[in-house]
Amino acid sequence: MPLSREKLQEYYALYGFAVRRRCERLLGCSSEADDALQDVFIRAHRYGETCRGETPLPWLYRIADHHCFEVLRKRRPVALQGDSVLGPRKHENLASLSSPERLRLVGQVLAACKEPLREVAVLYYVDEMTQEEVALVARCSRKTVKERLARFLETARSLLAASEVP
Amino acid sequence: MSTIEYLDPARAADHPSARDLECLAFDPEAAHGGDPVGTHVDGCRRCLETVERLRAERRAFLIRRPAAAFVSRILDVKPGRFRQWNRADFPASLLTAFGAAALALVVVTAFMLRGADEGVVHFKGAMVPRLGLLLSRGGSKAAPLDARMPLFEGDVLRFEVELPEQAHVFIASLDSQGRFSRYFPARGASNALLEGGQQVVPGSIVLDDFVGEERVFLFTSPAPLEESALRQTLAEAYERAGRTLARMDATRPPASVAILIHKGRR
Repeated sequence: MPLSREKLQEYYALYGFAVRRRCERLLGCSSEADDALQDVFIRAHRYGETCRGETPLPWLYRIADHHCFEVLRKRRPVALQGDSVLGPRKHENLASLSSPERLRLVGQVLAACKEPLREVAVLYYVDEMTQEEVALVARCSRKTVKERLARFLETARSLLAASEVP
Repeated sequence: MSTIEYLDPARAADHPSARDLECLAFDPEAAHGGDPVGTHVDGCRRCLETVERLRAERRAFLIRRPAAAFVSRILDVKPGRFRQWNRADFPASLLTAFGAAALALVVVTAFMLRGADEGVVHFKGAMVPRLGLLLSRGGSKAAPLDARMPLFEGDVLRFEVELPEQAHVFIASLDSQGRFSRYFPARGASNALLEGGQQVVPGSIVLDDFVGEERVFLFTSPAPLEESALRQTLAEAYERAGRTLARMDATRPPASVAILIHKGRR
């Protein structure tokens, strides 16, 4: 059963900003985020009944994540771009990066990751959940979360190494 | 140790996750107090500021991108036209069906023969801004103009735009000799900030005695536009098109839409 126009408009007014913001963080591109925002709400309209019994924002985030992962999957794998936040600052402590810079780095690495790593990385780095919370949402063990985060970091290391100029 | 090891999440100890703060900020049914996240935010200045900032950003977002316009873009389709069948219609309907099939065959064949460069391309994504023309001739009320109709000296044109969201707008033209004319805004600031939706822009232009073609461009941008930069952009696009207006479909600058108009002599 599709969502009514009124309900869709209500959801967009309440959550449209949050969805677009999330898409831009995952995709790292404003115009792709605009596309993604439309696609997410088209799916929300079409599959409205799947939101039953759940608060709308996490449901919309799930749709957005799946859509963005699909977009990322179709991208060609690339090394970290020359203008990546790591650039000339790569020997600094990345914990000192501002939140937007950290998220931009995460977005770049997400594009090169496989699917199971992406979900965990997004919950951990974008949603700032603890490993226990990630395990609950991703429906896996804490040990699996830890392993996937380790592989995510390994992917980031590989990309960093590939972007370094000899 | 690789510096990637320092890619720690930003969440400080004993504070809610970013997801929890977003749910609290955006969900109208989320209550402060009573639940752990709400209770924490009520007593934490930093998290309260985060929630308030998120809500302020959402307000600004909705001003730029109204909900009704967005939903309309993804839901509204033109209704089809249907007619009730009855027995008396059958012979005429059969003839109509054969005729329609024959016509469809001709149209499909024509399209196949015309080549790929005349096909229709649909762009996914945000609604494309639209530029329309309104014509007033001999003191008549301005009415929508079919751009294929010839225009003459003394005709008064007004511009109608449809924008998916609030944007800086600039309307200008190039004629067949590559000369740039600024249409909107007529003077003063290099661009005007218009709200999303359909509207007739202020002001009008009176056509001069130039005879030939003119391509009118609508530029839109979330950021202010500079006339000098647009002049340069159009000049380069004109050169790439071999100084031929008709070919500027291929070289049209990004973030612009264009209409080709024809000016003649009475």
